[in-house]
Amino acid sequence: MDQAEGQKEWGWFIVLYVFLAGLGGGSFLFSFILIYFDKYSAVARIGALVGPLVVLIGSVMLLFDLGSATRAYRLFTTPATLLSSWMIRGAWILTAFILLGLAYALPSFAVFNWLPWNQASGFGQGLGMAAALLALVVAVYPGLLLGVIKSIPLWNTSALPPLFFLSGMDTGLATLVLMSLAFPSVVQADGLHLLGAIDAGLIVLLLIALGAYIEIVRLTGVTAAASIHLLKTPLFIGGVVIAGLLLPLAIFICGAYVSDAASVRLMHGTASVLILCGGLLLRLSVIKSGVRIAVR
Amino acid sequence: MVIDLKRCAGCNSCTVACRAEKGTPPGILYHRVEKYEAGKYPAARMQFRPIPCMHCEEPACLEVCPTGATYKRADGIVLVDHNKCMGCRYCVLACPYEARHYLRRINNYYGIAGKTPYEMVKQKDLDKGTAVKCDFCVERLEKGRLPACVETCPSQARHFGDLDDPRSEVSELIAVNRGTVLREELGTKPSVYYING
Repeated sequence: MDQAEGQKEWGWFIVLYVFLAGLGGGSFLFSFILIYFDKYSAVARIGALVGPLVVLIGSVMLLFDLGSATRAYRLFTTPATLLSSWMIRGAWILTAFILLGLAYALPSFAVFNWLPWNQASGFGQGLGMAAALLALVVAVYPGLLLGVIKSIPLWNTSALPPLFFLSGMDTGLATLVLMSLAFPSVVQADGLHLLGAIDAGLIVLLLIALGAYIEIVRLTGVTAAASIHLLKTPLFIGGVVIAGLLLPLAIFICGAYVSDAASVRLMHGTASVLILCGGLLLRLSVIKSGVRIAVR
Repeated sequence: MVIDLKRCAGCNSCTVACRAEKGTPPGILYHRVEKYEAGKYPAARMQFRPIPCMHCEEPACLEVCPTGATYKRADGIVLVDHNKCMGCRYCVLACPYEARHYLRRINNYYGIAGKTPYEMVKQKDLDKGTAVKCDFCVERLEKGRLPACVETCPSQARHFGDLDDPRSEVSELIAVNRGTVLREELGTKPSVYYING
């Protein structure tokens, strides 16, 4: 049998998009929750802005990926009968999230205080709720975009959307931790401990989801097994599993027993950078290793 | 379309005829012949399977196309309107038969010598950055001719006709020889049937 090859159609732009969509969705969602409970609002209001902006950058990556980007407007003008495509649904979801997310995040900045609503008002709360729901969908959507492609078993599994979703939440929270390092007076050691504990929980869930994903795909068929063989590069095992998941988990656990604020910041900062790199490598590996079922 | 694999010798005349008819640039073939080993030693033998676009009744490419560029004609032929295609390559990935290709660039056969007049004529409808595929030679069908691959096949392994008409040659061939389609389990309902050897 010939050595199986991963698909070549979708490359780095799609990888970056999938990474940024998860990160932006996660960052917004956690920021919204923090603002809702009025915790660390000084950081969270920036996180709520960064979320939609990062998703916007991710969407621009999608445009760069197109062969004829000038025709991308057709995503919004194609008749409703063609709603069968996840790419159309995604275009509307992304647009709605970016607009609602920005509408929620902007009034908390002095430059935009002329807007007739704020985050505490009923309208602002409604915007936030809607955007938070959309943030969930934005984080799940890349898994569906890839998941409906039946000819690539590595993607065509219901285990992929939860994996991308959890990883999106994980990277979103890591972004929030990194941003809170710039506000040592707002988020002190106990705050970092809280965020670290949530992140550690997410990593455990992610490890379970990743293990289940690989095991399910591996047993699906010959092509799927070939995909997993391609997936398990030293970069994946070292970069995603060890440096991106196990090491940050160990750091968060150790960090819980350290009370010196400067050390906690250093440890959580390192762990968050590792999580971000691991999240990017995870998407790169999954997208590059998608082997198509041979036609015979 | 019906392809009789008992008659196919793997000569690739169909692939060449397709390229001559369509003038596809280097690296792009709308049609290919897969070569594979069948059976076990000592009864192993070489098998060939010509693969054009299956022009499915339920095309996976049509389902994912986000711009309406892919469409199905009333007679079942699946086409791409290259003026509407934005080049996302979703269809290229979604097609289970690898029948679609993406025109990243349009190279010349003779490099710096530029395009030959033949290439200029044949490629005038090709648009860089869009998806392309076999169209069953619609321009020939409209003139009452057969697709280039069918007309050229030296062993007459290919037959073309109306699958909806139960008395057409293709329908009878499928019924008599128990014609099969590729990857039936996906529910795409291909319009290209194979008679297995």
